[in-house]
Amino acid sequence: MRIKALGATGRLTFVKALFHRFAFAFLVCAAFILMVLGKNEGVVVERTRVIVLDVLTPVFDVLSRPTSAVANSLEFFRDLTNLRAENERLKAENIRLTHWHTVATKLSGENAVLHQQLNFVPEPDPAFITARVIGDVASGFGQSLLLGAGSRDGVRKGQAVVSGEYLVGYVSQVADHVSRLLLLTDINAHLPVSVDSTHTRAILSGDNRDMPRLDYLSGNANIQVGDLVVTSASGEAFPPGLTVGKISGVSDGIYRVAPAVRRDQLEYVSIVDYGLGGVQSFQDKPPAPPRRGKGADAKGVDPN
Amino acid sequence: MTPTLLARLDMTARRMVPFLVSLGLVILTVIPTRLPGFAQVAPSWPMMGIFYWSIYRPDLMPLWDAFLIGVLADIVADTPIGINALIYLLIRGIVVNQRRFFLTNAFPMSWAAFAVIAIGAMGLNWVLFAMLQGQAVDPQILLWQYVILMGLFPPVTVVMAYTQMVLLKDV
Repeated sequence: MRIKALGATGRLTFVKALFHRFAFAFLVCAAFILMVLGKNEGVVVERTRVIVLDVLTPVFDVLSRPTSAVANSLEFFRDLTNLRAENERLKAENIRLTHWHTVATKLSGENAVLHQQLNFVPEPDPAFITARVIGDVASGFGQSLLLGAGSRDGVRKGQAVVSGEYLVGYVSQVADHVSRLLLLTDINAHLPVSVDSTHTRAILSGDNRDMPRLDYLSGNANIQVGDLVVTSASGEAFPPGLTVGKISGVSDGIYRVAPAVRRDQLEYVSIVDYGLGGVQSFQDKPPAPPRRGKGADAKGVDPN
Repeated sequence: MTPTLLARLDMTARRMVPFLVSLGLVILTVIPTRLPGFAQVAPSWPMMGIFYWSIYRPDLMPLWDAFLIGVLADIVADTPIGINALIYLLIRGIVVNQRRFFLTNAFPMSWAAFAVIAIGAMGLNWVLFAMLQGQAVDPQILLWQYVILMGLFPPVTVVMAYTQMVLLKDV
């Protein structure tokens, strides 16, 4: 009754006073509501995240340049001091590689002949986009990098991100001009892999430590420290055989993998579209399988 | 343009300094340092901003700003949205409540108090994260982050104190 008598301005002042009085409680409630909304990966929350990232991208882009320059010049001086040792190492490596070059040339010729005899159709080269690392989220609660390319450049969620021949992670979030690369070490990163020497399949799971662990090992064949870990074909996320890292050790029966790529060395990465499903989060529904039967036939699919 | 308008613009800009400095600290969490190993131990920069401005200029760091900085920190770091918003709100609330203590005691006491508040904040962050994600982070990672946070607190505070002296003297 009293409020009604206040008039429009009065009511506004009343609401303002009420807000001031209970602002703390109100905002605490708002924080909890956001947590619940975010947990369900609501469209609004996801959209807000993407918009904020897009707005901040120019700032990240500019600020990441001087640090790259500093890091590069530091590396230059470090290289200068190591010149002699590096030269020795390269000479030794060169001898080894010359041998492998001879072997590879021989095998490549043999392979070409075999391809010809089998009428082998080679797989098309995958399309890729090269992007600069503009942000490195350093926190105990998440391990990701921001890349300066987004949906406008053709980046899609789930695509693989590689550096050279090595898998770094996959795209987990895409805005117009920026995308998030979820590193394999992130607590949310799960990837089907296999240990190359024993063909043991497993799921590589991050836990925010610098070395992700191997879960759900299929059998426990004789895995050795130093064995190569590569992507496996299961799940049809990525092509099999992409190098992920090496087994670094085992403690309490849990194998840990040292990623092949160090995050602090990344300046440019390639986002690759293998035409496969990529890694999708559990919240995203998988694409519906093509329907068979009447519907498909009616649309003019010729059985011959 | 009249000088009064200029003066008013200048004043508005200056009043936004605490918010902008805290926003800068949020952005700092994402700048790639390219330092080997730093990514694992990088501290929560904005926490220091919220703490400092809540002591010295709570009028320019209202609850709403602390909340907003928290939401932005969550978005940028891709952590469950709302966690840092809640934590920064609580820090702001506690610090303003105990403001007299901070204003009357010397810096080492503030540092010690920050050490206690940061433990609480990181602990709460750990619990909420585990509840929302269904899996907990290894506390050892957070321990190192905490150590780095404590080490960086004095220099960051000096920079903010200098900013306050230069830009907010007459505001």
